[in-house]
Amino acid sequence: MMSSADQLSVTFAALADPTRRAILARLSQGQTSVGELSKPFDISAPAISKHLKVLEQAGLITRGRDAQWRPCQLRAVPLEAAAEWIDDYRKFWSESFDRLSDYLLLETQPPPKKGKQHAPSKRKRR
Amino acid sequence: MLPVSANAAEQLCIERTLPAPRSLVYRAFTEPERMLQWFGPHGFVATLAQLDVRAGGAWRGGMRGPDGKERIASGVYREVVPEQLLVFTYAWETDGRRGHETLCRVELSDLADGRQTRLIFRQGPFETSEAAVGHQGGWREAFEKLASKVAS
Repeated sequence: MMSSADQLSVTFAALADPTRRAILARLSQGQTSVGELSKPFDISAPAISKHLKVLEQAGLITRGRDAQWRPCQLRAVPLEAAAEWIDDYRKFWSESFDRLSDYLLLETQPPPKKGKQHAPSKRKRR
Repeated sequence: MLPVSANAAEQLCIERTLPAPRSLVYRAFTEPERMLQWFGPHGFVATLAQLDVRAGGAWRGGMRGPDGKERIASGVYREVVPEQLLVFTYAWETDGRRGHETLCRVELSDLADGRQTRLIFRQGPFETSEAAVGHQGGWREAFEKLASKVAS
């Protein structure tokens, strides 16, 4: 069982190549054969096979078991993991900025008057 | 709706209205003792803020999570326009190695006659440059733990 860290690295490694991204973009329109897939590219069939193998190992595509016609199909799950990465950062900064906002409110509030019991406003709102 | 495009770059953008003048917001981003007051998600305590705020200057920040573990992030300032703009690189460090590097952009502008500040934060690209590929490792795992601790 691959850890999610490894899975993400594998996904990004697979996505790092423009040809492989183009293959995925083509497959997002529907499954197709290797022959069909290699048409737009000016590279050899073995080279295409190599790219497909990388994509398959990354779990980005699946291939039919039929030896004659092994249609390639997009598998979106690892791509969703990459999108989650962005969500992680969104959460990180959103919460940091919540805290920044609370801090700035404290900084801009006038200091408590002397001799008066000051209600503690230092508690965070969230 | 599949996140596949000719270049798989993705960017994060967050906009906020902050309840303080631009000068104060800028100081919160650039003065260590102020940055320590807010850097990190809920439940985290900032532990380190070394900020050499000038183009080419390095920064390093740390925070301790609810699990007691410290996380370090670091980078270099690319652009500094006082009270207006900060552009800096950002990467988590795991066992001394830096993970995938992104570029962060903090833009500040006046709101409400300067009593409030509009913050526009951008980070990216979250893609697949060769640089990202070289860094295997546990940063993602650390971040997942971080996120789950915060969520609980």
